[in-house]
Amino acid sequence: MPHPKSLSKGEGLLKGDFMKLKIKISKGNYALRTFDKNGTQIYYTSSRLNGFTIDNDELQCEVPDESKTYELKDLSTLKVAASGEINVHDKPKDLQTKR
Amino acid sequence: MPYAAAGLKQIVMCNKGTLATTPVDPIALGIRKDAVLTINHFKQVEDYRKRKLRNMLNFKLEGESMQPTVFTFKKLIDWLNGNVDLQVVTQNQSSSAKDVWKFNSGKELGIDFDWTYNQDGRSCKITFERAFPYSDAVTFIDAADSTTAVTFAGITDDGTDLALYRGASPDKFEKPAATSLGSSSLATVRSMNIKTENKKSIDNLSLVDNLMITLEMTGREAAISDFVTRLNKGMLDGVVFQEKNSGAYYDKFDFNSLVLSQTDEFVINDEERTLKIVLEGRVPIYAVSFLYGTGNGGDAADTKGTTGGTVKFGY
Repeated sequence: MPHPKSLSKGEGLLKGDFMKLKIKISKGNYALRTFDKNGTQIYYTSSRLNGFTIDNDELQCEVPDESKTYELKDLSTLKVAASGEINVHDKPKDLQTKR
Repeated sequence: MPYAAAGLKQIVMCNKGTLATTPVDPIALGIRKDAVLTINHFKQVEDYRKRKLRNMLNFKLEGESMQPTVFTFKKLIDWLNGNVDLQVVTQNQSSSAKDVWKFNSGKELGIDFDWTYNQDGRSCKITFERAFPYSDAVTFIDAADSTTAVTFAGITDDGTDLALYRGASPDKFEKPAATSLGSSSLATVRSMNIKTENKKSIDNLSLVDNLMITLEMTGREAAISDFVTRLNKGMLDGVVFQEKNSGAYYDKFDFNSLVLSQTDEFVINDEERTLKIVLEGRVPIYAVSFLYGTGNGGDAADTKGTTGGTVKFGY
């Protein structure tokens, strides 16, 4: 089942399951990309698209289940603000919960 | 609000599915005339109150490269019908930031091209176009200012490559092969134009089955005997149009017999006395083949047609 919100708030694989990605980050304007196991970008969304929320220094976003890594760019500096594997065991600051 | 600087810095095409990994056969427009990227509404729905409602957004990039080669021609044929990856980079929007549009991975655009060799030089006008559903397009637009550009082997800056820039250099214009149509020094027009004929898909992507070919030679070699010689030529003879490149290399366009028809016009007025010949016909895209290397216009080591080559139509 496609995640209904993804159709308007992001672009990527619009099929299959979605999971919740959580990233510890301070408030700001960001662009979020996720990549599959081959490093191919499969999802994009941003603050300007209202594609995620940031509350209490934690960004939360629904991303395709196939996402293996992510990259978060600060839209004001265009520098990478956070990146890494989407794996709760390897990246303690990034919490992942399957829906 | 920051000032948005005008201009397109780099436009590069490569094989479909390779931009995201290792781009294969990248070609930059390089030395070019104007290029323009336009994004606007497509098939808006107008209601009874004449309000135009959103539907799709159309992306159209037009650019005219002055670096056409036989290799470029081959790749353009390969890349028709949505089979190309394209990266467009704008001029910097600050000291380092620029917008990057990657038309790949489901965002491939359709291609049309208009290829011209004439007395004004050699050029290839390429049009890329496709419309996307509105929300997909908005997301795609949003990503442009944070997308990291791919770098291409052998391409720096806008892709200017003086080795690929060639001016007009008439060599042969024959019909049938090995029989000259006349002296190019007495010609006022000597041109070859090849362009795609398209139909559009539902998302405005060009679907190309055929190339329309038009060759013309108009000149002052217009004695009665010249006109009779022209009129006595076969209706559908083979044709060779050839331009010189550097050294002994050349670009040869070889049209088989039955491909191009002949139309003649003889004009005498108070200013001119000219004989005009127009050769034209439509060729399916898969009736085009290529020869490279020694004897075919290119360097022995050139397997792609960059230094020169032969394009055969209807064989």
